[in-house]
Amino acid sequence: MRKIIIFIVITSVGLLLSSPVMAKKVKLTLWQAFATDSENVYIKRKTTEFNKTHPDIYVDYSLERWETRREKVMLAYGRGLLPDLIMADSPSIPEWVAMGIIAPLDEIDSEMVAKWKPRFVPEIWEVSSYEGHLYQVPSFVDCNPFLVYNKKALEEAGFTKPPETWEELIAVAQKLNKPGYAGILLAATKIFLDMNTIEGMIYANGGRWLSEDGEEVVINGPGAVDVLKLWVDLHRKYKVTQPGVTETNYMDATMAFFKDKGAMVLAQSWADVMRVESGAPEDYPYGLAFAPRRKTPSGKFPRASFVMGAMNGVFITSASKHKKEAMVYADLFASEEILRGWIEEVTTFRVPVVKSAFETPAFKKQYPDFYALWKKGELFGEALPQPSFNGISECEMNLADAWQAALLGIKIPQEALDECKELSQEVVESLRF
Amino acid sequence: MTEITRKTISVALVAIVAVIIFLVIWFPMLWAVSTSFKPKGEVYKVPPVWIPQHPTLEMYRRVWTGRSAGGVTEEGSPWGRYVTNSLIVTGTTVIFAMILATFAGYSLARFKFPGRTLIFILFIASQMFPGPMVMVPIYGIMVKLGLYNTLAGLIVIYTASVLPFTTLISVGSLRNIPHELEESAMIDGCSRMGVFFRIVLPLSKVAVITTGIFAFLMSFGEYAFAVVLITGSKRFTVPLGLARYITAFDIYWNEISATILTIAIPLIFIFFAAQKHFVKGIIAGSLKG
Amino acid sequence: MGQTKNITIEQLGEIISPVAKNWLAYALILPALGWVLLFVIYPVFYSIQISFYNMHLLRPVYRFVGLATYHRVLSSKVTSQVLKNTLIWVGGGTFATMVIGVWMGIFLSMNYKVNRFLAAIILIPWILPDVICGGLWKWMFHSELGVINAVLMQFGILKQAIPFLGQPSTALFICMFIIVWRLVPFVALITLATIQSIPLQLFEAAEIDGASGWNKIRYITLPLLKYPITIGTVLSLVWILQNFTIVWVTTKGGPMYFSEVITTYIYKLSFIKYKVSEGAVLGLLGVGFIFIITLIYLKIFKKFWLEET
Repeated sequence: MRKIIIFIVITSVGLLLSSPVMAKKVKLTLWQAFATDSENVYIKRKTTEFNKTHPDIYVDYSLERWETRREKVMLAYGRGLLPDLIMADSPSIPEWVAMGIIAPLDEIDSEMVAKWKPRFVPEIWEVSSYEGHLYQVPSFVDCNPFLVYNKKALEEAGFTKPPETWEELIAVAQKLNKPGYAGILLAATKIFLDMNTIEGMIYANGGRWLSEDGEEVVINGPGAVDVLKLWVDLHRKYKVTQPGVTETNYMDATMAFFKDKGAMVLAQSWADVMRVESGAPEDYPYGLAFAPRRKTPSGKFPRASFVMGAMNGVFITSASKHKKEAMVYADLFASEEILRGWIEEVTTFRVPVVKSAFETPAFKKQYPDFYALWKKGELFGEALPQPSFNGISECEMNLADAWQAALLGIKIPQEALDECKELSQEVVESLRF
Repeated sequence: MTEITRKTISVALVAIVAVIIFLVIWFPMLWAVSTSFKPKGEVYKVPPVWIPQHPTLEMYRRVWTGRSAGGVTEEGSPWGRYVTNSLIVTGTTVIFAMILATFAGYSLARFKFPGRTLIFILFIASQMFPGPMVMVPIYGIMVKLGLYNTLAGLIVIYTASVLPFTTLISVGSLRNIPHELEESAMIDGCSRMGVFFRIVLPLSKVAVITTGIFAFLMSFGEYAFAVVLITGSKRFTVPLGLARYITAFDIYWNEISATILTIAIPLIFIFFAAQKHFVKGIIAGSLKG
Repeated sequence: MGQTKNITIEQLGEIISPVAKNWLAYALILPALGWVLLFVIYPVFYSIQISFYNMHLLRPVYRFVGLATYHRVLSSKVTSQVLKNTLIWVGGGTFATMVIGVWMGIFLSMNYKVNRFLAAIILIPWILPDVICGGLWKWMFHSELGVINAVLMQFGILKQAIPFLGQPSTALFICMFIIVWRLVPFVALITLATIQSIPLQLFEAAEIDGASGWNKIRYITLPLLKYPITIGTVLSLVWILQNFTIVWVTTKGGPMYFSEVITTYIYKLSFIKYKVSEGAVLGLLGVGFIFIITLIYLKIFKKFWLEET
């Protein structure tokens, strides 16, 4: 009995003593939407270091589920329970700005933002901005679509360079396809990352989600329909894909490639991570190239060389009462050191956002082809931000349904995309607040 | 056909059937065991590797010490946290269920009070209800009660889900306790409540164990309500963690297998140790109503 | 005047005294009852309430729309596909579980040495959480990376992998296979336990009376099997109908809506598309099915077992 009393007394005294210390600190809550494990660890470590070097600020870090990040944020917004900082992807920006969830960083501290600007690749700065304001401090970008191909297999079949047009793609795939070995591996499950690759191809073909004024959904235009037709032909007419296109996602497909189940695969910029996970040797003969495009884009919009999303970056919420302190934290993640650290310390093959990182030995090693283009100044020229608008999540689901319907032979491409357009038009209109 | 031939054929048939049954039932687990010891390169080898050529404990190390997919150390094992959360939720649910189901079961078994039939029917009916059909209102109720995204919310709904079935099972078991025992105790001066705590409870071992095991199995592996009610990985239970790996990182199967094994083995031990009681309890409960 | 008062007090007494007499019974059952009422019964009513509105989780404003939501849900093409799938899923699953389960139970009851071992280890699929069951089989059936296709191709039975989970014709059936795999051991065991509880004397007496092997089974075993069959069927029906996890982890309802069952569709409508009123309508539909099954069960329950209540 006595022991219990002593224990309670000590604990209360301890709590009382620590509370003034806690009171002096500004507490910031940070929700981070789950990235890969090594990146989460990096963020956590840097946050802990930050808390140590900034004794008057305490950042409380919590890891959230990726799939529900948007829902969680919106529900918290509805109840006034938003955190101060959020780390999430750039495609979330239009929705969150429309709901007034995030704050424009240049209005919190324009000097700091001006200091940041010259470091970043200008096209990427655009990805993290909206309507002229910077909302996100990007960490890295993922680009798609890319073609990952087996150099050796192509050479042995007589091809010295990877296919650049759709006709070449069909020819190469046909030559290399045999039972149990796909000419090209495609991923078309319902997860949004598969859709991102597809959106990349659509945008490269001059297709778009929305019309210029943002009012109408134009996903059923020729830019997208022709891409779907290509996929359907590859899968059903020429039969040069793996049989399970609708059950293989982007990760499975890339893994299968490195397990020698296919000669080519349509993937994203960080495909090499799969090589490491598959146990394939470092000198596995693969190459990374822009995905093949139609000789002339059939959509009426300008073609994009690829689309990129800043899949992780720092946001400050408009509800935060400590925006200045939050900017200090954001500043850490805008620093050259951390931005280069994504490439040098965290090896998950993301494309860097800060100019100086492109000259690091790590980048040159991970992306030799990209480095060559960077040197020539051609890397980001025609790149566009990953498509996003208010309602993109549900629209991407409609796109997945359309894609699967066509691939399974249930609908012809035009029909499938017409239905996608109708459903998505409803979504876009109903979300107009 | 000679007697010997007939016997041989029947023995052979039995053997084949037994083997088929065994394989179909146990193949996934055996495959998981094999995979959990495989290094990266062997997981997807073609033709498939049955016995790992370079067996490694790496995956188990990762699961237990906190490394995870991606191969970089994370301070504080995520699985440790998930298992702790699961144990808290499951443990509390089991305790609540054991207490409440036994109480209610005794009440229904022993006393004939007005409203008894109605309550019986209610319990029988509600053992069918809790589940994804009422996901939406449960979500709404939990938000209103402030239990959204809390372990307490899970405990509450899991207990509610288990109570009907376990109460009915307890009724069956508790019916068998002869009234004379209680009556003689009361003659000796014991109060009604005293009889319950001192005579009935110790004799209701089977009911309590069955309830406990059922509650444990149901809440440990529950996923549907967990995925609706929990969103921060701080509060993930084991099924949530597993599902995340299976649907998002579905290439790290050697690691997933190691996790599955780590979870399954204690489950198997607990269950097989108490299997006899459990089956007895279910039979008693359901056969005798 | 005085008389009326007395009667009232007596009447009151009649109400209170059984309560007072049985106070312990009420006290013991109250917590469990309250819990169930609040978290099992009340949600059904709440569901009914929501279904008459057009609630959407992201929009704070909603209004009473009568039967409009019902109309929307019930006239959708997807809903009819989902209901069709659910019928196959539940009906086929229960049938397969019972047939295989009872058969296995009978097999296990026969006097072979191997059966002791088998009966002891057979329950593993039922112990494993749904997530693990779905995950393991999903991976084994995968077209590119799964072991089943790999083995079939290795032995030359297949030239190309079969995308079990990616093609409309097989996706739902694979899910059914998984849940049948999970439930069969349970049914087998309760069948086994029932058979084993038959006292040997019955069989011996029958044999003395000249009954053949088959007749013994027919007149002693089979009638008693109605217990595990009834319980097994009802439990299977309900467990399969309520199951969300196995389909979700294995196919998420895909490809397109070919393996979408009512539970996964409710989840998608309510928590991915945020249309909670529509989810509630569908939920009520499911509750309705369960209710019907329960009524039938209660009827059978009354017929078979109500010896004393």
